[in-house]
Amino acid sequence: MATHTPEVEDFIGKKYKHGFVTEIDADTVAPGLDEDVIRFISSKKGEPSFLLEWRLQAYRHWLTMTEPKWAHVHHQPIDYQAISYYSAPKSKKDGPKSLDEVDPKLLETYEKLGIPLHERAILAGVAVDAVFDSVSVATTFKAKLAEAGVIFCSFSEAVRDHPDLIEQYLGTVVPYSDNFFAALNSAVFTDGSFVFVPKGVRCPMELSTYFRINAANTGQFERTLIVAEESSHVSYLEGCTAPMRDENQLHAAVVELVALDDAEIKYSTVQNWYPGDENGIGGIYNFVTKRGDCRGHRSKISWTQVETGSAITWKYPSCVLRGDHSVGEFYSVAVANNYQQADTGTKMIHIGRGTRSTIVSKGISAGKAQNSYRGLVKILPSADGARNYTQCDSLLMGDRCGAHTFPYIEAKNPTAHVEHEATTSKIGEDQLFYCLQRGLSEEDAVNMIVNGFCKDVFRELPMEFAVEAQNLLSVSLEGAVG
Amino acid sequence: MSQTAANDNGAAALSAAETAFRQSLAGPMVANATVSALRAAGRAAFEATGLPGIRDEAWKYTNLRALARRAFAHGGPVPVPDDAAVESAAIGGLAGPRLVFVNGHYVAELSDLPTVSGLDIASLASLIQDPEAELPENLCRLADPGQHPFSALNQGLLEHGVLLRTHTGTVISDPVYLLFLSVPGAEPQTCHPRVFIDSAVDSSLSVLEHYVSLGSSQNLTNVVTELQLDRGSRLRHYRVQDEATTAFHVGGVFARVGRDARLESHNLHFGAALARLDLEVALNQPGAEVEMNGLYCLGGRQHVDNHTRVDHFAPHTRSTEDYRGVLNDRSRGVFNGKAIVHEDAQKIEAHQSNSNLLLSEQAEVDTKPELEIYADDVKCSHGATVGQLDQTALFYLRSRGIDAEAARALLTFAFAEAVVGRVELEPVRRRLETAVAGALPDRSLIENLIGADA
Amino acid sequence: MLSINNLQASVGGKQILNGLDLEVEAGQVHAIMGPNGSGKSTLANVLAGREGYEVTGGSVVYRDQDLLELAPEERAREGVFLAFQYPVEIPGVNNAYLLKAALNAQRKHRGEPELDAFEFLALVKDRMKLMGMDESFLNRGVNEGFSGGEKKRNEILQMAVLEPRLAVLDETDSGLDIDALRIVAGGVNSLRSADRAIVLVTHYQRLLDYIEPDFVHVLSGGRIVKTGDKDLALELESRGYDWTREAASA
Repeated sequence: MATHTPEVEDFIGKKYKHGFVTEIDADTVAPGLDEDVIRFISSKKGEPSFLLEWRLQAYRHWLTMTEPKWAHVHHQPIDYQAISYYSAPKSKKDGPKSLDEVDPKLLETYEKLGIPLHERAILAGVAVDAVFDSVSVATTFKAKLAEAGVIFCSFSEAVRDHPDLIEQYLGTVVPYSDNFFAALNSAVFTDGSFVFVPKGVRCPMELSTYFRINAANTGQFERTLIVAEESSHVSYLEGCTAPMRDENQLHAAVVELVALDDAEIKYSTVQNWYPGDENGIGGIYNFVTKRGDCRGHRSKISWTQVETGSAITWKYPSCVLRGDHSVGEFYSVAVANNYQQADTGTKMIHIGRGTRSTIVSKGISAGKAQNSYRGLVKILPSADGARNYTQCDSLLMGDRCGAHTFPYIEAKNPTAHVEHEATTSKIGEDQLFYCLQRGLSEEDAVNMIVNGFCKDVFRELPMEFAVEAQNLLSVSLEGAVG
Repeated sequence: MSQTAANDNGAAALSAAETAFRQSLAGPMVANATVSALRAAGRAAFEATGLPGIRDEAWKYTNLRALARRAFAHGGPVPVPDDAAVESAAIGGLAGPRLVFVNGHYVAELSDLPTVSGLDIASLASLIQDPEAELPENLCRLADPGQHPFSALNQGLLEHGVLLRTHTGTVISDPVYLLFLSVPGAEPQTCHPRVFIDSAVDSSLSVLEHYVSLGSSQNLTNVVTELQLDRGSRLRHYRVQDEATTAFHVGGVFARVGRDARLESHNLHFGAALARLDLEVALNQPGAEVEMNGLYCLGGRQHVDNHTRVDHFAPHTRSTEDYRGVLNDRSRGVFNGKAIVHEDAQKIEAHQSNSNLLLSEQAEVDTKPELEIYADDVKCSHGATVGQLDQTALFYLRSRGIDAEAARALLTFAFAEAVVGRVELEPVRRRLETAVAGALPDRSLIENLIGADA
Repeated sequence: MLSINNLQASVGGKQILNGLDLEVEAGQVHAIMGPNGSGKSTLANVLAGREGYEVTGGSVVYRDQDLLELAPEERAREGVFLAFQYPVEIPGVNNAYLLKAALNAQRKHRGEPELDAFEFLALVKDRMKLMGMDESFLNRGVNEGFSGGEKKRNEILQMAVLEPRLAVLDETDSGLDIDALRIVAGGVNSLRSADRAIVLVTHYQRLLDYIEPDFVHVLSGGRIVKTGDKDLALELESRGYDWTREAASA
């Protein structure tokens, strides 16, 4: 098992498909971080004073914090003074008014990434808010959404056009003091997405944002805020890619979701940021705080993620189940290959009565990668009749990778029922043989088995994403079993 | 803030440890040089870390404030309980040698040491006074004082305990009974006994460690057990902790399992205000196997923390684990089970399960079953559940005429019996069943059933 | 013995029984038949007092007592026995424990002396012979790892040991092969007596080939829409259930 077959060599030699750099003049601030940089970002974006104050508070708090060490990942120390905290495409300082104004090179980039931005977007029925490095450059379908009363815009626009909503909800799910990276994000975030779905509205289409890190040595600090008012419904898709870079780039996003009574938010992510090369050089550090607050009764927040990229992923999309009978879900596929390290999972905090949560996590490890599931299910004394079911499976491909499971269960209510199951195994030799005997190629057989392994998660994804996720997975795992 | 608290804890315990040292040094000097060296190493390791605080991941759910606040006397006069008290505490009906320890000290008058062919038994306290005595090579080497502050403390105060060694190829049918009595004195006592068991090649042995208090002891027992299983040996290790609910109990069981050897570990907690047990098993050679059974049956404000860890260092090794908790009143159970499969340890199996019954509104359980896997040809699983009794089963029993309370007791008993039933020593099993039944509301029904051997 | 009047019951907020009437006397065997979802199992569970089955109207009088007032275990001690459609597995509680506890709970309730282990074993072994069961089963967990047929047989064994006044058998024939069906039916037949009533709840007529009922009732829409003798069961077998509904509404 220790020797690599030609296919494995092939696989390991696989180049990152999205690795190209767009040549655009960027308006980039010199590396380093202090209060002046924060004031610069804030003034550059013409922000109201409450936001600048909030940023500065976050920054001052961040200075008192230390980087967390508990995750099962290893990396060189990050020099936060070596990162540039603002990079905007220079040619369009005020932001494009329509797609025609967008730099054709940018559009070309999106084409290469296969983002359905133009007519393809319309065909696919997807509204795209594309974030190029830090500034949102194009938003489609605004009119149709506006008709329904849905606000879907870049975070900067939201700050400008809906400051009251931002002030009301920003930081209420993930306060700046939450953790080291959330504090950093709160201080320096440059852009992101904002969604507001008013009472009783069912968002007429899937909302989608593609994130992309382009300029060298720029950190990316998006901030996403989604608010679903009473009885509303929204499905949000997030796709992430980054070009090939030799140096590690920090990505520390914050996503906050708020669901009021009977509201439902479905948040799907496909992340295939640059994972570094076969020697573990380069790649994105993806340190993200995502949390949903089921603030209302019978509300529901569902996270689905397919994580195949990044050198290091540190991410725990969570649900605070505050409202009675609210529901939290977490469906995850995490693939780690070569020297990738993934430490991901979720937290389900049961506060309200009759709250339910489901966790399905599928981890695939190959090469020399380390893949960890870390989760917390917490049942507070108030959560009468709470239920949690967790299924956590790991698949190992290759004898130099690792798969780890760290589930925390804290139960303080006797009427709660918590069930956690986990298995770890290598890809089934008998299954593989069975497929080969039926005439399938090994690659197809592996694809089939791996897709079967991930089926419970893929079926939670919106159709467009499910197809993309499956393709991504098969590309990532070609020849991974010899 | 917690960091400071942890340091304070450390400082308090350290000064208590210092006091203990001075007291022990005031006694007869240790004649054996190996022991002096081990003590110094243990002491240095403890001083380096101090007592752990809740910021330490391994102590996240167990706060030692209550323990660190107290002053324990070490090495005071040993009270000698009368025979009747000893017999009522002891589990009767066991054939084989019985060694009785009072507050950690071996008491020959209370013990019964028939010659058992193929088995050597030695009291550590007498060995360390012999400059020529050869101590087991791995004494204090299976428990890592750098990782476990309490083991370090125990090693620093190494004096009392017992060494058991089987001879190659011998099957010893009668169990060795180690009875540790905790007897209250004028002030709370602390003791640090050590048990070392060397299972020789192809031998078979059963050992029972039984911890029990006479009266409402507030003593701290800090015991370390080291188990060495040589090729093809089999060891059944029973550990029953039934101290007073006012007592403190800290224990470590550290095992190294050799080729084709098999360890059965049974670890049952009923007593102590605060108990913590670290069970660590290294499966070092192909064919090594461990089965771990655990039960914590708690009430009042008891807090019991079980940490287990299995290291699969070699291919073709196997571990299974079944720990169960029954939590009444305001008790709190903590379980942390870790299975680590190291690189190249292929063709292994590791299965782990932790189930908990929360029977009262204020009971709490924190459980964390962990897997760390660095090989690929493995079959690993773990599961954890927290819940109440199965409502369908409850209705079924009631529909057969059994009242609700008795039905609950019966189901709870059955839940625990899955672990208790694996105890092969009949008198011990009976005692445990009685202990489980004693914690339940309708005791008479269960006792009736235990008696009804249909 | 049992008098059900205008019984209405709901499960999870859904009304299932809509005014059911039934009179059962000692010594009689009643078969309650009906299509899926007609309320057969609901009736059985309401009689045994299962949680989640809410009685919204009507009355059930059993031996001059309001049955609905009694806790499940009190009903059992008064001689009401439900053979479950899906007998639950209870790992760790062995069959002998359960049977002895159940039997003695009843005897105590009736003011009779409890059986000691010896008397109990004699009784159980005798009944087990009747059911063609191996003695090893006594030390197994209740229904643990039993096949479908074994579970049903175990239900009838419990009935044989507990000797109820009123036995309600919920789909006892489902999932049984022909040999198992014969054994189970034989067990039930041997328990027929002048002071015992049996209510068979079943979807198929097949069971009635082996246990001949005195009355056959058709349950539909939560009410009894037709009553007859054993020939009615045969008619149902050949014509299906639809015509009874039509007949009822006509």
